Amino acid sequence: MSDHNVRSFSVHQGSVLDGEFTLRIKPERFPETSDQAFSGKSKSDRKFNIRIKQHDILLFDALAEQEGVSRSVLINRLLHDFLRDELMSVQEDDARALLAITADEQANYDDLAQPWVLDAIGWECRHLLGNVLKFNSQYEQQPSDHPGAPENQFNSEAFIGLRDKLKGIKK
Amino acid sequence: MSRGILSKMIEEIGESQAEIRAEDYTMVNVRPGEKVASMLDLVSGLSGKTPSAVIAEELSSRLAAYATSSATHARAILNAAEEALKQSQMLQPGCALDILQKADVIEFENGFEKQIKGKLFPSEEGSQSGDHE
Repeated sequence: MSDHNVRSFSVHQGSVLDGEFTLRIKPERFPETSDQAFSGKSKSDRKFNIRIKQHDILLFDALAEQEGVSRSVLINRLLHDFLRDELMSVQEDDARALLAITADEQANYDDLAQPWVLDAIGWECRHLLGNVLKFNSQYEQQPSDHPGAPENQFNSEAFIGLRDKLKGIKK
Repeated sequence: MSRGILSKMIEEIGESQAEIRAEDYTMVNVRPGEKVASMLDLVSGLSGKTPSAVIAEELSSRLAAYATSSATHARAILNAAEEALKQSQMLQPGCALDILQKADVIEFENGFEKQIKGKLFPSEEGSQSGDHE
């Protein structure tokens, strides 16, 4: 057992239990569903250096001051809107879902920040996502049992191409 | 002789490099949070551009659109434009304020333009100043 999972300390309360105490914690006994705090997957704090025109900085600062937020909050708001619009511009449902799930897999979300709807119907959402990724539809489809049927018979060409490109990026 | 692919590409590289030198940029450090950072990394990887390049192309027009999303932003736009003109006497090409000017959301006259106007249309200038009094 590693040292940081064991503590020893003295207790003097004037009772028969007084003396040297030893306290151990056993992470291996935690249920498998516990969070990743012990696996060392810490919350990311990634920084990006971005080029911004100086006159845009002036407008960012003026708007941020008026709204009582920091420049950084305003930049992040615009970045989020931009990336969401980029994602939503993908026409094929399965390709759009693949992009979203790939980004989500790379993120380390804080459970406190996720929408309540995911707490309430997370399983249904995952089921729906599975259907979109597999069948390019919200509903399950009956796969063709024809021996010549392609592996991704329901997926769009965009999905198949994107999946291959994403494999290349992850390598 | 038609222009080759390489010569066109090199010309474009030269143009973009000149643009970078000509325009004043500031490097800003942002921590966009998990959701934005992961998607930005993904778009960057797919497009083959750096995250900064992905953002730089889009940010000014997004900022201009955001600035006009509420009439309550008018004062902030004026404040920023005033500061920009005090600093440079003109707006940076392609910046959000420049986009707003091209969209006729803001307009300005510099001192030289006012002098010319005053010489060409002295009576109009006089009556305008009279109106203000």
